[in-house]
Amino acid sequence: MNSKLLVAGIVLVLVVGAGAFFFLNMNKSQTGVTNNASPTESTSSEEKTTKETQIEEVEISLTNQGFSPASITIDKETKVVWTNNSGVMANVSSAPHPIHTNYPPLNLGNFGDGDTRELIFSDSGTYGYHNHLNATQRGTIIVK
Amino acid sequence: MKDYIRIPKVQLTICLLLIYLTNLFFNFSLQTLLLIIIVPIVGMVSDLIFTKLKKKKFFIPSAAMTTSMIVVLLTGPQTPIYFPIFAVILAMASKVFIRPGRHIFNPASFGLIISSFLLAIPVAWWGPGNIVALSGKLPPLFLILLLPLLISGLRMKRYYTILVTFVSFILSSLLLFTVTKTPISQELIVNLLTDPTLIFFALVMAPEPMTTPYSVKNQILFGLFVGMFAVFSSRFIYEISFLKTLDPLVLSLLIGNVIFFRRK
Repeated sequence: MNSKLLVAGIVLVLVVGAGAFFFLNMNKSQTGVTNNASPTESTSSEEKTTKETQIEEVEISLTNQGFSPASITIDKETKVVWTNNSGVMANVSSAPHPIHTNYPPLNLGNFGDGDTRELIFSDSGTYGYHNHLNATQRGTIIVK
Repeated sequence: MKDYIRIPKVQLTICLLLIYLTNLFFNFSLQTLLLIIIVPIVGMVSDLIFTKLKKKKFFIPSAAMTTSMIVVLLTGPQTPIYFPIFAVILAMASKVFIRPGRHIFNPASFGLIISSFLLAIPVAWWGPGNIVALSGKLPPLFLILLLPLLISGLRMKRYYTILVTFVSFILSSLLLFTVTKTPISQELIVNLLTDPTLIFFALVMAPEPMTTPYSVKNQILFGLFVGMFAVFSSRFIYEISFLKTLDPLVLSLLIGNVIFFRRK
């Protein structure tokens, strides 16, 4: 009896988690979210507009072959935009796999085929990341 | 044949085959098809050859089938084909040769970790990851990932290993997030609970019956160790360049195998 309850408990947790996961995901795709997870925040819209006009943008495409380019070197305050062209949902997450604690702002979460996620890098350093749903697909951002 | 299908290992292999077939159906490619032909054949043949070398009796290599399926699902079509072939041969070698009484290591994990180290190729978790990716379009597909629970839980009775590994990993992650000041959002928790890597690991790999303890107390201790070690070791593994390709979950399972080898 206890064993059956345990199994039922595990299934319940996973199913509830999955339900919440898909609910959150559905909400995002309905609103066509483009996540700007930049740690840099502006206080007024005027400042923001001025800042955005100065921001350089670099694009990274995710296909079945992985991230392209897999490694890029950028200046500080450059916006990196990931576009999912893999045909299925992807998940850009910070290294290390599977914990993703190296640079939390890089945990951009799940995004569907055709969607984009972006992040402005403010600090120098080397930032490893991967597609958590296919951990062989890895990339590196080097901020000068 | 009826008796053969009743073996839990065979039933688990069928569940893994269903996960593979779902991936193949929705993302058909020649490489994906080749994986399921080549890797199990190499696995079974090497199991039979190694067994012959040890001068043991021939048998139906059902364990080789399970191991091959795990290797297929954890590598995937984007990984060079020599990687799963090498991994499955090493897996079978460890099963036959590294056995003081019974084999110490989870064969698939052993093959994958040594291959990752020598070939500098990480484990992809392709099969389970892709199921979650596909679930974005068709949510019921997620349930396929839970099928192995019917075997590892109900048939093999490793409930405690499964539950404690799962919970220990999540709680350790939350602790590490707190220590590293990672913001803990609702999305982060949901992503953790539905993490395909963790679900597959807890349901299929951690409860492998030949290499893990079966008493309730030791199942709990084993699950605690594996979940916690995977989380905290990931930080160190990432910092050491030649260890970077090692998967913390797979590594923690192997270390757990050694520590709990003499515990029933």
